Amino acid sequence: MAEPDEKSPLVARRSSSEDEEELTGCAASAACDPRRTLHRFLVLWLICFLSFGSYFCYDNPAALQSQIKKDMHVNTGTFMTLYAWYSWPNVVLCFFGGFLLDRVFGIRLGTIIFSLFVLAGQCVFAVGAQLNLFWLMEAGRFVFGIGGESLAVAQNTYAVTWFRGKELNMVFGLQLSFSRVGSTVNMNVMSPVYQWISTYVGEGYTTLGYALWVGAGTCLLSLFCGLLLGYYDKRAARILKRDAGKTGEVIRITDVKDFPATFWLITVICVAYYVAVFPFIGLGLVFFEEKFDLNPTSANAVNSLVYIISAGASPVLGFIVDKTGKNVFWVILAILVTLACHMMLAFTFWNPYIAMSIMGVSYSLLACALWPIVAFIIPENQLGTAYGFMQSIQNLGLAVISIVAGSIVDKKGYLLLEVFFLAWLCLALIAGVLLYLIDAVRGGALNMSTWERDAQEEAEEKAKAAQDERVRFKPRSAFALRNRFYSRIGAKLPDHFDIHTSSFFRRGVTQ
Amino acid sequence: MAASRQARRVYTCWSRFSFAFFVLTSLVVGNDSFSRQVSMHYNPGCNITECQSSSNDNNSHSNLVHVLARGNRDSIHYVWSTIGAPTVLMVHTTSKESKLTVDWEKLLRTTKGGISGAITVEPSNAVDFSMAVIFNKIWEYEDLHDKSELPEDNTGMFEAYDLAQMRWDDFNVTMNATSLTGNFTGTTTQSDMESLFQNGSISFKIHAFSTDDRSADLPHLQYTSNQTQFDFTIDSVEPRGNMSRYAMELTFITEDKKGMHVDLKKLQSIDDEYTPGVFQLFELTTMHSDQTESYVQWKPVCYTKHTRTMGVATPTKTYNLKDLDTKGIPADTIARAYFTNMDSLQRKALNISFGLTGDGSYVATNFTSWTASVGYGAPPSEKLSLLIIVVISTGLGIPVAIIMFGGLFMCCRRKDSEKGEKEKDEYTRVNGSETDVIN
Repeated sequence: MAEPDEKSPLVARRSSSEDEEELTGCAASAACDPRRTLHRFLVLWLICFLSFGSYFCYDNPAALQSQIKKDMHVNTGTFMTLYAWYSWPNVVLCFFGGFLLDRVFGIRLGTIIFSLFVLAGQCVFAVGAQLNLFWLMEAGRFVFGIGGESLAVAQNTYAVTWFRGKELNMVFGLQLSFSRVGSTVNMNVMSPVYQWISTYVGEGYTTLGYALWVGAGTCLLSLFCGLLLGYYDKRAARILKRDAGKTGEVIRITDVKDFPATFWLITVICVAYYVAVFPFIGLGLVFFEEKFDLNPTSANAVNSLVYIISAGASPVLGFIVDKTGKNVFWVILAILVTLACHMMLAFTFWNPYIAMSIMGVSYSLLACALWPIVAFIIPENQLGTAYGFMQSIQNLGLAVISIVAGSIVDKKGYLLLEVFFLAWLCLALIAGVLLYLIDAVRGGALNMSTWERDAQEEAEEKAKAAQDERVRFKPRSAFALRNRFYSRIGAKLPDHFDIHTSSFFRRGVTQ
Repeated sequence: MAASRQARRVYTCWSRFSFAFFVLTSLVVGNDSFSRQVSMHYNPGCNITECQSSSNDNNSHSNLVHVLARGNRDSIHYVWSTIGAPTVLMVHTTSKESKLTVDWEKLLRTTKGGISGAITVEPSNAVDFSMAVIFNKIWEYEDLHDKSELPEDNTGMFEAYDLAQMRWDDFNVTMNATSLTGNFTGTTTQSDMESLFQNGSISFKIHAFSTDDRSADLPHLQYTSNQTQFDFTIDSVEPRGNMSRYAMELTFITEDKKGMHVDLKKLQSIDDEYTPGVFQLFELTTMHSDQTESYVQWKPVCYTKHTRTMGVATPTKTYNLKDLDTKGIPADTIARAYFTNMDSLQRKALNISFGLTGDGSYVATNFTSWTASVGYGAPPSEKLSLLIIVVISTGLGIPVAIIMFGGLFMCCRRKDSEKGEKEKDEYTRVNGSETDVIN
């Protein structure tokens, strides 16, 4: 500030650091100071590992499918209930999970509670196997499900509190790739673990039980991360005075209906896009074998491309979105590219490696550009509810559409299935374009590039500072000055000129 | 090679699209297909004892079924028979009134080799095309490494089932002359292998049509009154290996006119609407210069359970078409009763194996069923259905429209706001400062 003019404060604003507590020792080092980037990234590891256990255990049944079927003497249909008991309750549960997070527990306690549920569920699951009680295993999966999805909501909320306005998109990308890492590690580890245990115990349900306890170990690790996160978050809140800006408002369940239109559009995109990707992968194997003449091994490889690519690409793409901003633009681009991929698969005989690789990239792009937008729209005290709600709707969509897609293939074949998915993507595209239009009409806050956003924040900061000044040196109105002058010289003022009541007159209160 | 294949595939895809539009226009213009009068007769004109009962040496019935499809100007004769190896003979005549004559004495009472001329179609000058498909052998092989590939050498091959040495049930019992269907069901009489058929059988279910449509069962092949469809089924035959798979040998003979050639075609389609999960169509056609005289058409899919669904479908593999010498034609078939000189014929053979890696082989369900059709003229071609076209055009048309209008709206808005800003600039304030109001 070179030349003080009338608008600039005469007294410099107190720098915000003055009333912060002094950090000493290790706490002052970059690794422990919540104001520093390094500390944030250490916390990021905790956030990522928070969900590692639940993703690892979620796919335990898939990794041990043949063993579970053999040891528990169940057929494929019954085996699949292990997944049904997880998914269907979550159509409702993670909405309430998110709400409880906002309203009752708060994020720290909520995270720990959900981690406990995950751990308990996996323990029950393992005990069920050990006692050769399949119903107990199903119950375990149910308890596990109560925790699992809500924990993902908590993870999102943590990510937003720590990284809003910074590396949020990348963090969402990293979370996505960690979920893939979790399930991949599980797929590769569980079967050898089972083999290894069986050399000591011999095959049978007892071995299965022991193997599942390994999964419980990863849940314990996640719980530990949850506890650490709670501690660091509380500490950071104290140091950064995060609570100072809070209004103390509490969310009510009915607030959901007051979420802005843009939020609903994002939910539509979320459902319409995800149902065009995951149910397709679920049915893809036969499609690749038959249409493209691939043998079962390469068909499987093509089918899992989206998962593999998203694990690698999403942090990178998240970083790009962070650097450029323009989230809505990226979302629309991702939908368009996926649309093109599905068209390629539906209408051409081009090598499916091309389409599926591109789809992997566009899926990652969408995942890391879409979810953070919610943080721009919804106030922080409602974020858990918002994310929970989105996830609920998404779960519902995926569950219903998977069934519908299966029967479409059975009755009308893959071409119509692809057309069905294209229609969903078109719906997502429409929602994306509407989101852009509505946002553009309101000034384009969501689709700002990063530098615009920074500039706006700076401007807001300045405006806020200026307002602070105004509050401190409240300028007298001409009216007040004149009356003050009159009263100084002892002139009799009419009643309504009384300086204390005049403000009412102007607002028409006493008139 | 690969590039040209790719190009052909793309071409096929686009030609389907153009075909779709053709379909649309033809729907408006009207359909010019016609139907034939189709009838089915069992052992026509036979009054010797061999026809009445299973009086021959191994209790086998002498089944011969005549399917006659009479049109306005021509007629097609199909003769299905299990006298000898199961065979279908197709004769097309340019006469509406042509007649099939079977010399039963000659066919059933003479020893092998003497049956030539036992089946004739009169008037002979009206016969313009004839061919036969002989179902010769069933191979069984042990697919230890689950490669689902018929072995090149004979490793893992079991002794083949010779379909000429089967005991066939009475077709007449299963025949329905109204719905034009019937079953040839048989068990082997080969020594050491009879026990494998204790509860099992091999069967051909034939189905002729007097209208044009698509069959109600998977794989929903198209049918016309020019053709007969058949389901070939191996049901509950005891497999000889732990990973047994079956394959069938088809022999194909047709008269050898100048400019005639037999081709095996694999057609690719993007549309699997009628047979979910199957994108190919195989056609074994006889072409005379540019005209298709006859066809055998099938989809590379078979079913491992009686009730056909996509879940029990498994692919079939079609091997290369090979030339046969005259010795390759089975000695015992009605084709030899119709065609008098085997040397003047085109003779081809091909194998079709059932199942694919990972489906658990025949052993999983002890059931395999496969469908094909044999017909005269050009095979019915696959078209995109109206449903698909409508869904695609609305599904993709609406969003394009919305995006275009949205873009237009944005452009207008931007122009408006630019104009608005200009106007704002031009507007000069009458009163620069706030006015104080004293009430």
